[in-house]
Amino acid sequence: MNFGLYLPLLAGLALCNHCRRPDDSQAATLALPAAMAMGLATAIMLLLGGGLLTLADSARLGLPLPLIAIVLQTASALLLAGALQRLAAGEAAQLGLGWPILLLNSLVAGLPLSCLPSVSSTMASLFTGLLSAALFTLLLAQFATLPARLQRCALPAWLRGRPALLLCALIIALALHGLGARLS
Amino acid sequence: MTLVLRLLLLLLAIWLLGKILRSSAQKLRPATTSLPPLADRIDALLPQTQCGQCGHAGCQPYAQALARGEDSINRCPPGGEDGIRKLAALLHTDYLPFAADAPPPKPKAVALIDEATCIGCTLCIQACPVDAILGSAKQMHTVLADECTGCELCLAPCPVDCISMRPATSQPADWRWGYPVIAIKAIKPGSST
Repeated sequence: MNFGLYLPLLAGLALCNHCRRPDDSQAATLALPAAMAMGLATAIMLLLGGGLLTLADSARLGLPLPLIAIVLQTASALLLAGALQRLAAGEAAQLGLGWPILLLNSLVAGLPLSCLPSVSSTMASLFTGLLSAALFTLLLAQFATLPARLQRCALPAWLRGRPALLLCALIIALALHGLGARLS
Repeated sequence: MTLVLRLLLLLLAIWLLGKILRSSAQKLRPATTSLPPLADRIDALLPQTQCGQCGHAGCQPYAQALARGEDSINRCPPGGEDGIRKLAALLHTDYLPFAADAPPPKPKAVALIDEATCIGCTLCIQACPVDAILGSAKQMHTVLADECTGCELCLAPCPVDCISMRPATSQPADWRWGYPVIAIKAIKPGSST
């Protein structure tokens, strides 16, 4: 697994999540809870997907592991989206927990699971999923608090708002690329 | 063992997500406090001298014009450059220096009525935008120094020129030690002193 590419991808995914949030008066109030909720939802999907992957591997289906991982991550995302829709549809919609973004997050954050050589080492798959979810949650929280912090900076008018956010995302992605390249 | 750990973590994550969903639902239930109108927020940044140097009748009309985008942020000399910066930050525009035709910013001053000269015509009372002058017809007038904003609008109507502007007395918050000012003269080489 090339973490030098994967970690900046997570930063891009977090930015994508942030940009999908509605730009209304409640968005600022709910930015941090939404980031935490999405991070937890991703952790749930990765734990569920990883667990199902271990079970599927022990059942010896004979299919390639990446394919099984993608199918199971999709299934866990749709399962969670369905459960949220049934139990707390309004709150989930306000926190931006829609099925398309859940599916995207599950597939992208779950990439390391599909790249594992074997799921026989279940501890490794568990920690890979947990670390991915933790890093993704941190990135989401970072992007949730960035606009308020950028507003306090004396930036020129042309740089305020989205351009400043994109620049910050680029810097974070570059830093994560450096970190991931060392890890790989 | 790992499966049990995974299950426990899964349950913990689901419980936490439930808590967040519940708390966000509670947060959204009461009416959300919205920001005051833009004109009011601009007005709060203006110095409230009501001097009319911006070309408007007072600070509130200037704030409303700014909120509508009909005037520029560099029309308030009493607010100074600091005021322009605050307005630029609030309105998300670039800093604009004072216009060339704008009156230069002055240090804060307070009107003072020469009681011996005042004839009690009440014209200055009518001109004062903040009701800082007390008095009645053919009676001596006086200025409430704490209320006076130094707008100088009372100077022009006075028929006997008994009003003058004096530097505002400093408060404990803005008091500075008065260092002696020593004039520096350039001495040309070879000239005798």
